[in-house]
Amino acid sequence: MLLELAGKSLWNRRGTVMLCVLSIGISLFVLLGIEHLRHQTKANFTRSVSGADLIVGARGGELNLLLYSIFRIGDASNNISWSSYQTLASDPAVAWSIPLTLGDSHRGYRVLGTDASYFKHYRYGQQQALELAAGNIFEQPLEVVLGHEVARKLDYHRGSRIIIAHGTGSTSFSNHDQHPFTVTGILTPTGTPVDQTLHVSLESLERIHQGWPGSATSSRLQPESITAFIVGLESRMQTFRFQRQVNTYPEEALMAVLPGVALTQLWRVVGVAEQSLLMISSLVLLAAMLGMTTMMLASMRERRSEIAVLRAMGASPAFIFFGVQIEAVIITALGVLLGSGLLLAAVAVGGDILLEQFGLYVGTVELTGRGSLIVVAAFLVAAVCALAPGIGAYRISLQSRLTGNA
Amino acid sequence: MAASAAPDDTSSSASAVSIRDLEFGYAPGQVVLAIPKWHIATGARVLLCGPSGCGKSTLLNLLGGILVPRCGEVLIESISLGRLGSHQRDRFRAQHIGIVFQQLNLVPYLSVLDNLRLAIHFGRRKHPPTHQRLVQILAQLHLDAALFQERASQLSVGQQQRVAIARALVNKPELLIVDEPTSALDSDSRDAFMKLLLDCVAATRSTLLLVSHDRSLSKHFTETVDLRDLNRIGGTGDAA
Repeated sequence: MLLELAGKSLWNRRGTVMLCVLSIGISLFVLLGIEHLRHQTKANFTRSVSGADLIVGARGGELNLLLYSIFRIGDASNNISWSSYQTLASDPAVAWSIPLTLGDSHRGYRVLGTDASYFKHYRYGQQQALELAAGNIFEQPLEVVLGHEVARKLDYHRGSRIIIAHGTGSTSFSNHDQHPFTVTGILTPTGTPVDQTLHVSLESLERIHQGWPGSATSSRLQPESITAFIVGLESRMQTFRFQRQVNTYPEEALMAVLPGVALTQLWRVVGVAEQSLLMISSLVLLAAMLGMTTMMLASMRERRSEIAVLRAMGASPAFIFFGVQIEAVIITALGVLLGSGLLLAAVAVGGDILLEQFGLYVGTVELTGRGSLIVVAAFLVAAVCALAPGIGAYRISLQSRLTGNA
Repeated sequence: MAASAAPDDTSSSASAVSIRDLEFGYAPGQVVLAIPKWHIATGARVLLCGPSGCGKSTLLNLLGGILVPRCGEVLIESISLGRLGSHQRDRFRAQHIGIVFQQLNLVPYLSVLDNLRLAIHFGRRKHPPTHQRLVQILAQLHLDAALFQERASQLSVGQQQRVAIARALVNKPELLIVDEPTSALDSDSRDAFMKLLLDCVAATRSTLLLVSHDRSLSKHFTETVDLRDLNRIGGTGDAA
């Protein structure tokens, strides 16, 4: 009955109530959205580098190396010569290595030049290896293996012909038109940047860049250089020795980073922005809650006679108080529903845009620990905010007299 | 505390309302009402009159258990209201006392039926009135079935007053308190209203206490009482 009465009372003031729900819903959307992004990026980033002991690239920022080699964000400042790669990769401490060459793209998706070791040694998530959903890996030049999402979004199948663009913009004007690639395989979804990558062999990249200004002109399909390489060591014990060896490599200015260390660095950088965003959106939510308090306090004046009637019927002051509290809870619950709905819709609609524009992969919304904490906190704040009008109503009900002409 | 609210077995067992040595004031030291003794017999129809400011509203609030006397006792159906806890008083009011105000008697955003259902909810009877019974009460008050789902605020003042009687009587209270119910009505509607009210009270066998400054209504009542005759403080209360 309490619930029904509160519901009907809110319906009676649905105009102002809807505005309250809207403001709470939108601020919760922002708060939950930021939390979702935080959770997703962290999970994605962590998922993407499992199994790699070291990542080697040209000397520069550790974070930058991690971002462009694994996450396809940003570009390398410099390359590694093929001979240096050969020398370092043949070190006895190295169990396996994966060469990576970046710089081309196809309709916004990055093209990664690598070799068969990528499919053999690359690990994501819980030490999972890449698997082919269809076809096989590239064997001949001008063959391409698609990440799951590339194939799905662009509707490519085995045998599809693809033109690769020079550079990484989605609207590059310099296409390698003379060298169409053929899709030979499609990978299973991984939930990592692999899904958004086109994989080709180093030889293929060498071939299409032949005759390109500023690139190698030799007729051999031996690459001149690569962008970076991932290393798996025989034993974790050798990590620091090999890292030092790379960092002090005499022929070239190289650098090896531990993915875990670079990720920690990334969280530190992101953490500041994250915390301030969370704080701002929490304050926005608080403002929305105070808006609700204001609305309810304002309604108390017109509700004096209603409270007097309820008292005459035998309602206790506690009933009146909890009625107001439940109204606040209902408004908040509607706000939570609206906020989550907006978030689901935004992820469904905006996920692709984020992916295309920023390479930010936003997975489906799931209820995280912190997400539910935000929701619980919202209800608590609402209950506290409703204390003022609730106590107001309680006092009105104590003072209310059986006169009816309040 | 609950046990102490047992029936008082002295002289008041046949009284619907019984007041003894009542004294009440809003501020310390001030006395608005002082009624040494007053009884209303069960089943009586009493008109309580007196000019405004003489303490009629205060007395109603004391009888309804909204206010608690400073000294003395108010007994309704032999239950001393002062000995009940505030929560018990609220419940007692819901079950045993029906109250109709001058105006604004209904929760405006609820339908006619929902207003009655709310009163039933507070009454917490073991056998709440059936829907059929509600329809019957409303029909008795000449309320058209088309109005039942109407929001209370949509009704005319006269219709609202009749729904208010239905709401007040739905739990079959022993005592019905009605405060200036006719002041918002013209004289024709007033007589029609009084007739309906008396019919309903007769049907539920409730004791009726009606407060009005309009002495012309006294023909409908078994007893007419001027509060100034009861209240020893009469003079000072009037000054307000």
